[in-house]
Amino acid sequence: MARVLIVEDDSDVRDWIAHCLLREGHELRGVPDGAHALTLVRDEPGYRPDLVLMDYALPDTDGVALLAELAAVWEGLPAVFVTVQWTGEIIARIEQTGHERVAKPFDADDLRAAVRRALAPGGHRA
Amino acid sequence: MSWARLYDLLGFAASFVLAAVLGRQAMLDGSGLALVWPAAGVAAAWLAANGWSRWTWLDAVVLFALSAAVNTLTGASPGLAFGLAFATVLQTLVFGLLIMRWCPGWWGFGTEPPPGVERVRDLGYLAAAALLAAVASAVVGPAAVLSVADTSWKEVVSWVLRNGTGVLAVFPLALTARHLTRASDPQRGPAPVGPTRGRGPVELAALALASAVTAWLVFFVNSSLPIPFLVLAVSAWTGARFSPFVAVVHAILLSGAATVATVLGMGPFTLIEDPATRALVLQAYVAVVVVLTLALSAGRSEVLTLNDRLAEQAAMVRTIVDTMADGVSVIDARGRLVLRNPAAQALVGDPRRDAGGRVDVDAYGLRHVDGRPLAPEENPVALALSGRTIEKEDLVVRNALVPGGRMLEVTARPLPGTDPPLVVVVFHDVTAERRERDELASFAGVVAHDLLNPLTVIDGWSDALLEEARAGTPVDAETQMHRLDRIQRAAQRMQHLISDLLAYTTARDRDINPVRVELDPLVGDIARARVESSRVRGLPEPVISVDPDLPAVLAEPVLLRQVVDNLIGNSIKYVAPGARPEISVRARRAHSAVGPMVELDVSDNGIGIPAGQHDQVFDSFHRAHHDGYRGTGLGLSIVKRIVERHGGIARARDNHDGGTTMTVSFPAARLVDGPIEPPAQEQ
Repeated sequence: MARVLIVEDDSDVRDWIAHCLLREGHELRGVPDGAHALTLVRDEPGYRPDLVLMDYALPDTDGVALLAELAAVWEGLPAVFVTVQWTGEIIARIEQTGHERVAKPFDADDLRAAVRRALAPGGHRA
Repeated sequence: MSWARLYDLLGFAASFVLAAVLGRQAMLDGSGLALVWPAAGVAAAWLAANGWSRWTWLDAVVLFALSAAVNTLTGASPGLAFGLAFATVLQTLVFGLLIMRWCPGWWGFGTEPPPGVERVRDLGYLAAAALLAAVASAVVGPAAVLSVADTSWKEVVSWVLRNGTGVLAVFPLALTARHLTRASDPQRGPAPVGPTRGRGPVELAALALASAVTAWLVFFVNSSLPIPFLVLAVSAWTGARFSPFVAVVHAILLSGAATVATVLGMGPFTLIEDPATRALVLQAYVAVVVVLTLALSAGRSEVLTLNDRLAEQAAMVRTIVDTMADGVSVIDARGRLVLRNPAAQALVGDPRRDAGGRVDVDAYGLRHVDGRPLAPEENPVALALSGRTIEKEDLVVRNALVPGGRMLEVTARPLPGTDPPLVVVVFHDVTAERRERDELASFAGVVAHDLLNPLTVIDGWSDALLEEARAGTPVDAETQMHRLDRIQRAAQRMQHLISDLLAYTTARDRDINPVRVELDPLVGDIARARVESSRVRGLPEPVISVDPDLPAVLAEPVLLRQVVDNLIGNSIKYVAPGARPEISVRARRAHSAVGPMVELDVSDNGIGIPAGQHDQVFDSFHRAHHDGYRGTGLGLSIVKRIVERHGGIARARDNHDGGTTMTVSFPAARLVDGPIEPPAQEQ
């Protein structure tokens, strides 16, 4: 079991991701954007997720920039990007981070597998 | 035979007789041969002017008959006369064959004669053809003379020289005369008379005077002074400064003066006692004068023609470069501008230059696309000067002239064969092109994102349902309903997005055919439909008050309806949860640059627009509110597009007591009631 923070602005997608991960017994928190994620960091110092699962295209920031801010507080935080692959530049930017990436629309098993890989020791290739 | 052809025949025949009679007058005592034979040139021009035709045989027969007759009438025996006539025809035919092959432009010059011998190469062909034709005729001519006089090799050489020179001097004269009388556009090409540049008539008069004095001194004053070289001076002057026509006339007159003086027993040639030798030297003199003058003149004419062509081409290239939309600059190794077209100045500005004219390349403010300033060694000019070619590299220019920056596609390369080296730089403005490309990529990305999100939901929940059904997992009806509801909602989102995308495209591309539209019934229809929709969905019914005196506008009815419906729809949607939407629709008349307008206000009691986003809400895919308010982010950009295509504006402002007022303007219908008020002041 792991604590997973889901950052996804689309509530239906967020709920679907949650449904996929609940079966694994993870403890889940969901926020719609970067600002809410940083508020969580600030307001709940006792909270530290084992994994962040986020969309790349967030309303107020992009996933890679948000991850950098979160990792500054939660050092070594593994991440899974769940995103639409629409340009090579964005894919390259995500891959540079060394974290997992799952393309929308995704299969539930693929998402769970990516989460397992990210949580495994040495899952972060960066 | 046409009348023109007959006139030609008669004209040449008369000219030939005249030239032959003159030639026969220039005969030294004891010799059967004339000193000069201009008739050979007339005969050559005669044949060349008409080219081959079915009447050529007639030309040859008439030429033969006239030659024989003139020789007979001027004292030649019948045998000699026939021999000379045969030689004349033979020489003419050989000359014609050679000219036809070497200078086809001269053959048949009756239709479009060239202005004269204008190239040194042509003079070479002319001289070679004249010489070979004279040599051919020498096989017959001197033999005929031999039958009546004591001839030697000198007579043979003399024959070749006088006949060859006759052709060389008279043929160009015939070309020019024919050009002046027959060419469709005699002004084309260098002027046939006088110098092209300089004081033509004055110089021509000075030349005439100097030449007359020279001829008198050299040929008619019995002086033992060795001054015949003076002839070279005036000949060189003529050739270097005047047209081929003047040159050949000058050479003929000088040769004529020498011949007349010699026949009269005057001038330097009379010092030679042997008549045959005297004739030979005189003919050699005539040949040298004609060739020298013509060669200089043809060379000058060629240079002038090339200069004119170069100037024409330079002017043409300059015009093309100046009218190009792309900027072009040519810069030398010291950084000085050699050439720059107006587009280059408009695109990159006018850079600073130092006292030596050296351009401060850094002042252009060139940057990489990512905004980094260009290092001096990265400058396209510097790279091209080092021999490299920069092919279509995107750079940004930002300086005082273009403070907002401009994206340029820059090509720079060394100009081959330039010493000291020059480089050419071409700037192509790609600002709009790149912006459109980026916008399209961004647009496609957002569309993909907004379609794939609901697709993820549909795919995921339907997979879950399918999986559970296959496995026979018991799921309560409420959970099932909840999941199916999500699927349906996601499908509706996709449908809305696709509809909005189509509306967005329609707003951009649909033809605008404005007609008079009464706002009153249109707004009333939309308001009733919206109230009904909320009632059906169990939402708080909006209160919509519509100004009873809404004026008429000029608009495309379908697009206008879309604008009003979008605005009222937004006012209903963006209210605090549970609140009843209160909307008021008013209008007023106003002025704008495009004429009288109607400004329509849609005010609400909604949640408002976050500070600083009042302009951004009109951007594609911009969503001011995410939590709890679904939307495609296209509604207001559709509104803006439609309004702007009608010549109006769309703007948003906060109400004093909360909520938002959206204002759109459309052209007022022509038959408006009441006076047009002055432009409305901003509140």
